[in-house]
Amino acid sequence: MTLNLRIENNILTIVVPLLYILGCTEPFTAPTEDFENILVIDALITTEDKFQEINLSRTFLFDAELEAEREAVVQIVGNDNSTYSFTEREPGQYFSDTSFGAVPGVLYSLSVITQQGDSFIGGPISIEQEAELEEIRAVRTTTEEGEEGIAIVADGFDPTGEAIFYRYDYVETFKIVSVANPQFDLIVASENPPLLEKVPKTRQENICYRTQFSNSILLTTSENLTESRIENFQVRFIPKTAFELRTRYSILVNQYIQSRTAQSFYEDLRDFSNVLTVFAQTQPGFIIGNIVSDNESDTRVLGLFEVSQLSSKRIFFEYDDFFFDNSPPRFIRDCPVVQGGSRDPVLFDLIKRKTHKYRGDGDPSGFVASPIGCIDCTVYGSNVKPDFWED
Amino acid sequence: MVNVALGQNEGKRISLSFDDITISEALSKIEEVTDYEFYYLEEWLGTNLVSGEYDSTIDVILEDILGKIEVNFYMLEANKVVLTKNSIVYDSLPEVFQKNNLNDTVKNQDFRLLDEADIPILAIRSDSNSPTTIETFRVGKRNRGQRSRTATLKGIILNGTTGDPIPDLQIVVRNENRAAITNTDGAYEIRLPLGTHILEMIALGIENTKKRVVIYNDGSLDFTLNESLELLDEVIVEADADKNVANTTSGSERIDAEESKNIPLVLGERDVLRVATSLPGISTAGEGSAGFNVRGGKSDQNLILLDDAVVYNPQHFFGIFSALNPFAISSLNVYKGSFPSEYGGRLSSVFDIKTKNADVETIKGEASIGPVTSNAVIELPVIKDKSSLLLGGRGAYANWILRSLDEPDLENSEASFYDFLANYNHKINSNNSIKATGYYSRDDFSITSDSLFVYKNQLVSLKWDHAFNEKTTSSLVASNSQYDFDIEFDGDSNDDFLFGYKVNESEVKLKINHIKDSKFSYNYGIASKLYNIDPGDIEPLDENNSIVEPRSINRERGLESAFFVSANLDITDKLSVEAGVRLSNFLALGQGSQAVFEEGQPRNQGSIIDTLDFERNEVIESFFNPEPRISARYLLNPSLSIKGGYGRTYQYIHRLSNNTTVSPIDTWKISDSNIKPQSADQFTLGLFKNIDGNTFELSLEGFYKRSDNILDFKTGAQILLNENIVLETLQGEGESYGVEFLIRKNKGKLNGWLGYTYSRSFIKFDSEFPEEQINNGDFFPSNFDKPHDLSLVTNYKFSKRFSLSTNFTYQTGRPVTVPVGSFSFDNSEFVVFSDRNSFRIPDFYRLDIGLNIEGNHKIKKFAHSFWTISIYNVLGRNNPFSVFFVTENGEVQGQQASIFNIPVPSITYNFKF
Repeated sequence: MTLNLRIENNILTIVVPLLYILGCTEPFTAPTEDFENILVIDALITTEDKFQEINLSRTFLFDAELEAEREAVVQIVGNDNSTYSFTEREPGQYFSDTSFGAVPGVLYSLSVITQQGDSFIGGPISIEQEAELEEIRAVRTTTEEGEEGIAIVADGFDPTGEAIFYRYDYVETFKIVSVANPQFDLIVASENPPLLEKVPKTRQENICYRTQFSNSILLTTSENLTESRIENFQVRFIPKTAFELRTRYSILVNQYIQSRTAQSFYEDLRDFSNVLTVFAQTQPGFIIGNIVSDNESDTRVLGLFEVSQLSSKRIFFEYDDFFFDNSPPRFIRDCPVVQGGSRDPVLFDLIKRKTHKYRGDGDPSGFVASPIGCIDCTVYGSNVKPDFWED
Repeated sequence: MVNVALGQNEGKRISLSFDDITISEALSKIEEVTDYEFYYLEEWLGTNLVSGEYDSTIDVILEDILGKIEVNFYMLEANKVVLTKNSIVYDSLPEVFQKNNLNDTVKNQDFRLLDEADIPILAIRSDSNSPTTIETFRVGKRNRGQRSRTATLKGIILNGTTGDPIPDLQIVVRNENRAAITNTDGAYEIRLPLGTHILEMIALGIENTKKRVVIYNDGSLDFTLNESLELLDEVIVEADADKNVANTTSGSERIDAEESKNIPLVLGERDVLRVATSLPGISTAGEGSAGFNVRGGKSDQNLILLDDAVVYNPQHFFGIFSALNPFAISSLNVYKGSFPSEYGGRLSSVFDIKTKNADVETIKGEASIGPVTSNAVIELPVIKDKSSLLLGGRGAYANWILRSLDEPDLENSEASFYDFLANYNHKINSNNSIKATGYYSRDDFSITSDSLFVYKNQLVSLKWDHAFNEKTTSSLVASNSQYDFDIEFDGDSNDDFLFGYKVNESEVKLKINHIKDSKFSYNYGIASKLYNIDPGDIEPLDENNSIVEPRSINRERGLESAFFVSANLDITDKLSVEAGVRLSNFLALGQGSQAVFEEGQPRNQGSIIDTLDFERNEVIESFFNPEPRISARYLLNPSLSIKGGYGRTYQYIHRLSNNTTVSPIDTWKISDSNIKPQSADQFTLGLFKNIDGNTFELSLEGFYKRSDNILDFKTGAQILLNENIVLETLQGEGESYGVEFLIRKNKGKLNGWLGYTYSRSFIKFDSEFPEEQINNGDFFPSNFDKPHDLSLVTNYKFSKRFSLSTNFTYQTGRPVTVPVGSFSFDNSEFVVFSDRNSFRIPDFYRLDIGLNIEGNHKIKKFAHSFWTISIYNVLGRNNPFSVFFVTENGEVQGQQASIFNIPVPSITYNFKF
């Protein structure tokens, strides 16, 4: 601001800021004495016809491992006289015994009885709104920070105008082609004396498919909009240099039309886990959800039982569809080469510890090896082509 | 005894005539026609004109022409006539007369023709050792034949700096054991024996002054006294000399803006509000946190008044800077205990801020240049000695602070703010004066490049002070104030919007004061305030490209009215009581709609059984509440008193916030049929002691406060644009108690204060429904429960130019809600929070040092300069402000943030003319 006071003598203006102010954030270790072991119920049933999955686990300390809730009795009952029992296939993962999809208009109730005999109930709830995931697109974009990349955006629409709360998640799958495709492997022929032997490769390690799940909460609403239409909602941003874009990329976007309860549950999850600014912090607290204890004991439970309409779309694209500089992202890792003969102790050690793999023959003799990830793509993904994959 | 002394030529007749000439000219004429020579000071004779024809003796002529002025004459031998002021010259001098005992004022004058030794003045010093710098005044004309040996001295005492009368000034005549005190008009009256007396004049903020008065008869004598320079330069929270002990009310503090200038504060900013937080019982949630917590009350429970109009957000930039121009503020009175019945509408405190009146004689200005803000104020006389205009402006260049904050989220952020203040005061006559004030402040900040937040305060107030007579005065205030904020979102997708919120209130208040006598006074009045709140509207930023539907939540209207009366009675010399009541009424007015909930059910969408619609101005709900206030003081001895008080307060407007600290986008909501008014009862008891006059003031005060219907929210409540906010609100109880200790040294080279508070603040939200409980319905510590709070403010004056100030603060860390574990949900890991506020962040302590350098005091220098070099957080203590948890790539990480974690030096230059 300039001072504009000119009354006889001027005001002398001197500013001497000596040092800068630095705000700071640093790691903080939370206390553990108040830890409470609470049952967590993640029960999302969708319209998709499949073996529906319900996950039961326990809250755990920060440095501890996830603890599954074993041997519970899980069941969903619909008011159309349907009953679906769930069986634990993996620890804490319960799948319906029959394949089914939720039917709009039917009221569903959840019941969970733990091994200890605690009983919890959710519902009855039903699907009340539906909206189509009309289109997903990959668009070349630049972020506010100036980073170039590709945004995956979604358009959703409910012509009846009733759908309000939209949630998205995605499953991305991309192709990994190893940097070299040798037809041979090096194996340890003898430990003492150290000796390596070149043998033909027994499996395909050149082309793999890696699948990654979204791990952020993507919510939007048409609450303040003139119609129930979501446009250009960004589901994912992939920087231009990300290895996902090196070969061929595919993304499956799921759109869930959910209840107000589910929306606020997910909002709380999101808001309590992300700070807006250092100056204003949302008051956090216990997230109640919509599952309650069925006994007198009022045992605390953290859970959401939701029946959602699901609408999905998949697209495929490649780096060259958007960028024309012919410089796709680098391979996932650096791939230096190590050379040595069949009795070279250094090479022997790398092969024995399975950190490196045969890449080719040396010049004029011996072998060339590279880190295992450069040769064997199964380090990063599966060498089985997914059913949906289109080249 | 005949007091007339005449020379030997008295019988000789003189013939002459005067026609409208001055006495001096008349004396010259006598000298022309006779042999008489006169010795006198020209100025004694004044400009009075005399006329007359004489054929009489010299003494008749002189008595006639000198009779109108206070001058006597004495005939010496050889036709010499000495004129004397006031005194009648005696033929025989008293023994005490010493010929060199000259009157100081006369001594240095051009004394015509007369040897000093011959001056016959009988001003006898009662105390010959008193310093000769005491100015001497003469009062009254001695009449021949005067019988009375005592006389009455009257007059008015004015402040030489402001020209205002000085009330409550003590005039002490030690030798006679007599004293008088000036009234509110600065007038005094004292009866004294004839002769010479030393008057000692004592008042707070006024230089102690002694004047010698020679009294000949009844008369009047006005003084103009200087303000105490020593006091001005010190860090003092001002109180009247015996206010600490003698005032009936307790729990009030006064902060003088000028006197707070030496306290080292962040970035060299002078800030009366921040000084207030160094006093016991007043705190903030943390560094960089807006709002105040007074005696365990929430931050929306403070009534902050600027020239009688409410300021909703008196702080800029998340509370780091005050939004009040420090040069435009004259004083801040904080009531944290039982506040006077004229104030209401908030539970915990009143911050009564008054702006300065501009000088009515000369143009004055003051400015400061600091590393972040610059301030300027200019005072302009409009009609000399009657009216003046004050203009103040202030701006900040804070962007560089945000950029240097080590917070990646803030990289694209911007912040700027400014405020303006103007006031006009006009003294119409001695019984009427008016003052108009206008204020505007604005903050702009953007945390990300696609959103811009703007918040503004604006207010106007108009006050008319009227005196019906000496004992009855009134003040009529009309004011309007508004707080609003906008959020502009301009992202890449099709949902660009502009969101706005506004609260506007208009108030009229009439207060009448009546002083019956020195033992009994009372005041009463009425106030009425109309609220208009626009709780939120949203519209598309660009109508063509945005599918945001324009929507607005219905305007809320309310009328808050009160009748108040309060009386102050000295029952005995020792026991004084102030009692009052405020009868408040609140009407929630239509147009609007109210949800009706099923009894015995938790409040949610499902339990709404009806929605009632109300017409414009239809009464939705009416509340009527009596608010008794009483306080009493008992003097155990003149320097020790015990005080107690009780007060009840109601609040009809509530700040809605689901943040842990105050945010500028918190909204305010008035009570209606679903949100009850908040109420509080507070009891206080304290001991107050002065030592060595008021050099040391000590106080120890305890309080207990219970509040009801305080507002909070269900976890994760959405507040903005929520048409049914009542579904998210919880109302509960609060309880706080504490002991506050303050010792203050007001005088001397080393001055300052030490305040310590032990207090607790708890809240409770209980219900039969688990979703309407917090922490199982038990009492838990509030966000600002900080049991130990210690402040030490000192100022040491090395010389007239240099002084060193320090400010040390220690506080228990505030309670925060932290996760007690993790859980997995939908492929991600999240944190689970258990009980609210079960953990405390580390204790807070900070030391600030400031060196103040006054410019030199050369008289001819046009302007006065003042440098403040300060270091904030000298110890470099990393005081965590908040702890928070982020989920990154499915992993939970705890972080703690601090605002200033290194010593922050700054230099501010102040300039005054």
